[in-house]
Amino acid sequence: MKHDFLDRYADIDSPVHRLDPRVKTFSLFLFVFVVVSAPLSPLFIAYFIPLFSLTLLARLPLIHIFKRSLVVVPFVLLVTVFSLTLPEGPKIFANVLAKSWLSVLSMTLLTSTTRFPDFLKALEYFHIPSIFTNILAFMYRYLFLFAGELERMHRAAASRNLQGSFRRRLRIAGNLIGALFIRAYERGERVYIAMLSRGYKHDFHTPHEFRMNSADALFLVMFSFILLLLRFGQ
Amino acid sequence: MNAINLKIVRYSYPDGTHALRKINLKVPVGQSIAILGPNGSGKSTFAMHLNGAIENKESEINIMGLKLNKENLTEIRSRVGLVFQDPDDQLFCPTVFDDVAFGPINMGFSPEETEKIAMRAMKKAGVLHLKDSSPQHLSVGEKKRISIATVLAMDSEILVLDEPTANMDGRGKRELAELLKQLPQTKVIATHDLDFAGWLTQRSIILHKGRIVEDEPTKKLLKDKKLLYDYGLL
Repeated sequence: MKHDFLDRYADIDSPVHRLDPRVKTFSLFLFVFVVVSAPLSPLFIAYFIPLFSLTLLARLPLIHIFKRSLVVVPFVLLVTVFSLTLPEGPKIFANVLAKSWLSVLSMTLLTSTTRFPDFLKALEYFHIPSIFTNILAFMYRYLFLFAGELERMHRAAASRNLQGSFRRRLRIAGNLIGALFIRAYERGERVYIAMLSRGYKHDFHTPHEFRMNSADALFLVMFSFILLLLRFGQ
Repeated sequence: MNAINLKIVRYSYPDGTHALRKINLKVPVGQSIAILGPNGSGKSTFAMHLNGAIENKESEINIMGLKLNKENLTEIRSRVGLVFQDPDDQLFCPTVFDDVAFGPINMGFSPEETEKIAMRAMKKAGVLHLKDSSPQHLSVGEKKRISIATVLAMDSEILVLDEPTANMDGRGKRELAELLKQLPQTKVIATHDLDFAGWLTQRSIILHKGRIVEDEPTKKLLKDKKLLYDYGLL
């Protein structure tokens, strides 16, 4: 079973894919920081331009990036829907929507152009606490496995003609989730034993072999320049 | 010299089930021994005793003349390479390389040395071409060979394999057997796969309800069909 929804397109080749993961990760943080701190104005739309160009340069399907970025919408709606009752409401709404959408777009762009393990190594390089990078690493490793297990359990239930009232199906879904939780818990214990067996001492780092070249430096300078221009040039 | 010299008085699971009792076993250096027994006979529990993955106060275990206790635990874990039944438990890193490098890093090798060791181990196990893959996209046979590479990277003198042929097809089994045959280490293979035991081991013990009931040359044991049938192996 092949799951690749997390870093689909990360293996294709383009100038953006070839950039040093550290440069891309740093650029992401910079972009999000600038976007979130900038005051909202009609010119805000200009922030989409660098993302749009990078998507084209990376030969990514625009529709994929667009669709993926929509995941944020329900959350934004949930958070901001009540603000609409305030006099300032529409402005707050537009502010939150635009900024979170831009952030998620840039994140999607990063994960679509960087292999996830490389992204993790870049985070380690920036001294993000290892508890966070480890959680992400385990998520990347085991998410697919649990998705597969859930799929198989669901198929097993369907093979025996799962039907009946909504309530009954809800209860069965609850059982599946419970079973998955127990399996995950037990697997966690086994994985921990496996880690101890290979000398794990509560410190988990992986070696990296990144090297910055002139293209990386050029990108970093240009990207920062464009961002500063957008932020202070308006 | 004995690679393994152990006495297990008793081991019970937290729920009170007796898993092992009165086990005495000596395995000379370089011997390959099969631990045969049907499901639930205590094979896995026994295997986990060998590197201290299971802590048991009612046991006395000596590995290469070294007593298993708190002080020697790290040393013994690097000397005994435990290959788990489910490779998804054993391989927990985002990439194959990271997983093979995990042991050497914990043993305090420098990044350059770690890379050299990991490359050598992957080459020996025939998985060098999978270096940058994520385990979730690989077959059971490939994952099993990578699991073996992870313990080879720790330079273990004793390999303990728990149900190495679980979920494997004929070719995967043959390839695994060929790989293991080339390795000079002392091998303990817990299995109910009689063909596999016959290919690889000179000596077999049968574990039945947590006790050793037979200890014979593998060839002789495999001929006694009635005995194998009685112990649920045939």
